[in-house]
Amino acid sequence: MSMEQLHWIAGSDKGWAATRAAMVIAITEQFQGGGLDRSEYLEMMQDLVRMDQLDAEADDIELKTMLVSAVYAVAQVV
Amino acid sequence: MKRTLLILTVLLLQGCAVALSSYIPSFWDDNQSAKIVDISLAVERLDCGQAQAVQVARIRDDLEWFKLYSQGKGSRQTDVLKLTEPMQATVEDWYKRVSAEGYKENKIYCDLKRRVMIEQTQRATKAVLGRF
Repeated sequence: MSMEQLHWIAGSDKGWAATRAAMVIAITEQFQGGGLDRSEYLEMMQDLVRMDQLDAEADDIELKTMLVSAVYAVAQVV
Repeated sequence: MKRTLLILTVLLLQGCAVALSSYIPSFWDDNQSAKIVDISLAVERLDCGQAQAVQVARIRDDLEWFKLYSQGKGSRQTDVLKLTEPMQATVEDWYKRVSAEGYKENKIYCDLKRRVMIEQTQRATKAVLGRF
């Protein structure tokens, strides 16, 4: 993915994707400008990968919670 | 015949319990909820103009508390433990770096790391507090 694509996503109204793209841009620009060294840059990129794992786990909990709430609601009606 | 039927029934019930448990999340817990907000607040309040090590150590300790407490509660807490694993990895890398001897504070690194952690804690807090 090119920086142009990242800038396009960052400027879009795509919620979390825009936030994430803005973060990749900020980290990469700092690395290119000498604000971060290589190990700091790689660590940050690893953190962004970890955020995807966290998102997946959070989505899973929220979905299961919705399921349990729905089951309780149905059980009250029946 | 009766014995075989009994064994089959036990196996079926166990199977159902395992299948069902994978669909049931951990439930609301006052202590976990308070701790995840504490972590969120500590990340928000982190001042990159000050020494990082002490501030990051606090977040690291709070996350460790959350992990130990959840592990102590039992197997139903697997989901929240998995949720906080990425945050622990992020803060662990941060702590190792800033607590190393001779580390020279880098405000840019701190600002970006804080930004990543704010995103992580916001997502985790929403999931933990949203439980039934």
